[in-house]
Amino acid sequence: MNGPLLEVRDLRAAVGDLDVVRGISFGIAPGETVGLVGESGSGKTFTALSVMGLLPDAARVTGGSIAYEGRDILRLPERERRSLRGAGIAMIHQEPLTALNPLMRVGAQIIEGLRAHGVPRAEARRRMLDTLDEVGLPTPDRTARRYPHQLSGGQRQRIVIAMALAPRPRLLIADEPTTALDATVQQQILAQVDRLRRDHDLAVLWITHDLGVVARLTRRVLVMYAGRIVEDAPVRALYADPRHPYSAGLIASLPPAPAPDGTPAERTPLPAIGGTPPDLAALPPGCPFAPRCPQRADRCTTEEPPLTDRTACWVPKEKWT
Amino acid sequence: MAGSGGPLRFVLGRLAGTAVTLFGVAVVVFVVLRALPGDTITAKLGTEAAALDPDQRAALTRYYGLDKGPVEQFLGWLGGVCQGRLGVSLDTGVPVRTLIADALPVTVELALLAMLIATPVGVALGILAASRPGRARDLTTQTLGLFGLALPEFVLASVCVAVLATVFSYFPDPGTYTPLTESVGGNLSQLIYPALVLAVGLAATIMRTTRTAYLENARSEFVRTARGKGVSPLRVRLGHILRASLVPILTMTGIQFGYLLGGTVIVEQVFALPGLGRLLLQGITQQDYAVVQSTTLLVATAFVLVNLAVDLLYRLLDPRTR
Repeated sequence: MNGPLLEVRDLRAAVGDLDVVRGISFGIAPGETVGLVGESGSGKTFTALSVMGLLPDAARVTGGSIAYEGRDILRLPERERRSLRGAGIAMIHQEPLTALNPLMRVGAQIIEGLRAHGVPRAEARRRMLDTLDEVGLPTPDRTARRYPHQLSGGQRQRIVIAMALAPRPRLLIADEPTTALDATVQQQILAQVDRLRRDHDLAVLWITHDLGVVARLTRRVLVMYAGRIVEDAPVRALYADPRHPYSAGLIASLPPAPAPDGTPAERTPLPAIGGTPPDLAALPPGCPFAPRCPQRADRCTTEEPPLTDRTACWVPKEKWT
Repeated sequence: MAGSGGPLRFVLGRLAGTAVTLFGVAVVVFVVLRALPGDTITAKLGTEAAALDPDQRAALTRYYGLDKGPVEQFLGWLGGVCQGRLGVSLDTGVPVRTLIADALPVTVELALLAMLIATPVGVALGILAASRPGRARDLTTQTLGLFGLALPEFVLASVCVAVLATVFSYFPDPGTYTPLTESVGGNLSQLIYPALVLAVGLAATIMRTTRTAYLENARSEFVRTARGKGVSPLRVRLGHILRASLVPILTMTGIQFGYLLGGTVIVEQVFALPGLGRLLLQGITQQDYAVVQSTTLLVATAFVLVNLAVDLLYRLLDPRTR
């Protein structure tokens, strides 16, 4: 297939009357890794849950389309939509302990996902054991009989990953899967998922607020702010030459990398983005970032800029001060 | 996975605690009974007790064993209980053990029947309410539940008896109680109405517990994970949401069953069923010490054992508590 695996067009989602995703468009090609970054409340998770069809009761998609393999999944009957869930698009969540059913053995939870897509019992069991092995869990048949509370945080997240990957999805949405883990375990898990991605030619949407993760694992980055994408750029280009003042602020606030010989960079205070995150219930007219933006022009407070050619900003980079 | 807290150790530990609780119950019942005005003699003879001369009274007091000090009475009774002798009814002279052996099956059957009716109804209504929170079916079920809880048993039981008597010409009669062993149909036709009356309040309680637990679990992340795997809605509801709700439902059901064993007094009285409740009530009006003390102790023991059974089941249902 040549077209994109996932094509989101002008997606809008709301919680009650509050618009949390305000018209976003992006595509993901087969096997591509894309980062979705932004602060909490920027709409990253709601975007992911809209794609999965797992929005909470109070929330709903209010407009746009989500095409998977060319078919608009928002218009599919629920039964067909369900057949994509897990088998086509899988998601791993932030907190592995609450994401697993505490009353079910972990092996059974993985098998359940396979059985839901018609895999025969014996084969489901075999694939469950294979996948546990693949995600780096020793003694799969012993681990499979454990309950979630009997495993460590890192092991649980590996189970969650195994559960997502066992049905062989083509797209994996990873919503900050390592925030609840120790730094060393974080690195192992990220490396593991990246290895599996290459082995299975999996497309991955990494949702994170950690630009370091994005730099290591993705080719392309979508920067979200107040329910919109404000910059869509290849990861190298974004770091070298951010085009949206918000992206520029995010990158400036990263600690400097150590020198090639390993000596740590000079300790200087990191610049932070001034102001407070936007209140979605009371967005200003114009660009929602304008109140915090050092590059603000007159037009920014009256008209919201569309996403064109990488960025959604009225002020071209040459005119930045 | 039987670690240091294996099931046997757990049961033994709990039984030790139980013994302390039951001793407390025995003391309280004994003291309360003695604190009531009057005694067995006045209860038996009524106003004629006043006509007794001191010698007659002393003879009766000795006859009933009331001349001994309270500590002696208590220890004598408790010692007997520990050896399986529950005492003799001062009122009728029948051994308490015989009285209980006749009454216990009636109450247990009534409680089981009420539970059997109330649990499926309560769980089903709870799921029905929780599946559309805030909508018509939820509000209807919740309102019905409040009625079920608010309606006192004696009202419901009396209305039930009145309707049965006027419309169906059915009159409960303790003399004609048919045990289950004699005629299943005859027995059930006598127990079904009181069981239904008891089931109303029970079902309401179970419904509310189910609704709360179901709603809470439906919102949990592991349910979202299950849906994210493409699991069918029915399986998500039964295998994940309801399964996780079973723990609080079971706890509530167990507690209710324990209450039922000692709490069917009113319903047994209204429907004239010769169960433990009626035995207890008669014992109290006759100040029949041995009957009240032994029956109460038995009910308390049953309550504690039911709770122990619930805790054991709990460990079975929730691996985290093992």
